[in-house]
Amino acid sequence: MKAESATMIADVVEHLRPKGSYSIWIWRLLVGAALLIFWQWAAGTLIREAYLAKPTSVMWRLYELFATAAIWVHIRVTLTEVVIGYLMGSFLGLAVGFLLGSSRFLAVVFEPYVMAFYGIPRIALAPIFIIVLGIGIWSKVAVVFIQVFFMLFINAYAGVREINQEYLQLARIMGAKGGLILRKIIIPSTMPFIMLGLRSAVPYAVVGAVVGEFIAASKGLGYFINYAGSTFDSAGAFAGIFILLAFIMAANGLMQWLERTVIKWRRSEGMVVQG
Amino acid sequence: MSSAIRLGGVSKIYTAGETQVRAIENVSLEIRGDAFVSLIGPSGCGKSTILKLLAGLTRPSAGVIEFWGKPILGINNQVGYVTQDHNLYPWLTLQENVEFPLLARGIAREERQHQAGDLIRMVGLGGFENAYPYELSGGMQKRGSIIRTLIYDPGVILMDEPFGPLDAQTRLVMQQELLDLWARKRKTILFVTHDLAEAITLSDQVVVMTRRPGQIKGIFDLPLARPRDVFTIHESPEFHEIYRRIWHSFRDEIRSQVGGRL
Repeated sequence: MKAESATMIADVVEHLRPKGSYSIWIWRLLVGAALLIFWQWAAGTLIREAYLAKPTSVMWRLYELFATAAIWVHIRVTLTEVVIGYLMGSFLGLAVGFLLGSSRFLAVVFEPYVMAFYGIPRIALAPIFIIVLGIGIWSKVAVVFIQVFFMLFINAYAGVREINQEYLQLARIMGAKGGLILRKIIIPSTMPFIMLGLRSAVPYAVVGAVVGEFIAASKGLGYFINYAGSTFDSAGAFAGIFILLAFIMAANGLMQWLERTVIKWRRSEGMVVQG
Repeated sequence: MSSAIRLGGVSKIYTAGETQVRAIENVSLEIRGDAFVSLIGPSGCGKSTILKLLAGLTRPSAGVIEFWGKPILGINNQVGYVTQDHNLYPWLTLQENVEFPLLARGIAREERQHQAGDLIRMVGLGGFENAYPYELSGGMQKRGSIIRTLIYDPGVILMDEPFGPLDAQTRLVMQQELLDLWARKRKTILFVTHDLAEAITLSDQVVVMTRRPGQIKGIFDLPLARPRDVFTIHESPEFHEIYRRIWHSFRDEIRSQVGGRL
């Protein structure tokens, strides 16, 4: 019995480990290097360098920006907008998602409104937020908020709706009441949906802040990129984009780590649900 | 022994939009305490409906249901319910799953750990306390879900084709283990299956149901001696005699079901 299950666990572990992951990484790096080399060559031959900066000039510009500390104010502003909007959006999104997910009545009443809002490209609301909240950080916080809110709302709602009804029935038969059922069954069972929502909301949050800054701002990475673009500073624009990329990758890595830490009970990454 | 379960003229009609499905009709059945009774019938005959009614998950459309002489109002948490899927909570370890009913009853941590540990070792799962369900084999998961039910000592255990998803060998092992457990912890067990050999191997009494709407077609008392050995019981002439007798009643239901489809 024990031996049987021990081999079964070993099988699973073996299956999860990507075969030849070492060589995959070498291939990935080669592809990246090839793209960079092509870019370096193309800028100045296929496209005028004034329009498309070489990767080396982008690197140089990044070095300058950090060395003179000129970029920090922009990073700080964008980060503040993203973090505040993200926290508020995920908190309220989860709360409303749980509420509508567990009450058929509320779900039916709010459904047409939710669908209408869901149909609008939320980013199109950015100009309105700027009219109402001004060109400071709060209009961007609002754009980030609305992006994140819907992502988390949809995932939490779907998660509550997807709960295996037999789990709930058995819990009641085994004598469990409301609070315990919420803590030990409903929340853990929706956790994969919530983590997925938290992870997929990160790039949406960054897009929200950057687009808001494109429209009207005096600080922030979106403002920086937009300004560089309008002054034909291609290296500056790319430098801003690389910083955003680094930020999204770091946040994504953090989220994956969080997901693995919170959900230890799943065999694979399995689920794919999008908000 | 008094009756653990009494159904008197029970019917259940499910309504889905315009269509009404009569799941069971005028079912009367009495099960004495400590008996092992199997419920057998063609698929869709309402066997599971009877279990759901006894667990209080649904209400009868007509008739009375009594549990130890009292009507069932709401969820009946004096039964244990073992479903076809093991339904261990995937996010809890084996130990936490088995402790769950005690947690729901507000029993202190040490006592919970102690009782769950004893049961886990009793069914040979010692060493797997901290494993999550996905790390266990089908048979181990099933043992887990059975002891999760035993831990709160319900007088009646409802089992809905519990060994259905298991392979043939594991199934035999689990049947033997269930008989051994039952011999040690005498409970009333109502066991739903579509496998006649399994029903005879395990039970004191086999109740045969008709196809939908399910009614009771016959009740057969089994004079087979206990303790039983699931690996050899099939060889005895008594087993064959009983099998033949019940099969005679059972096959007509399956056959007419086939006819109905053609």
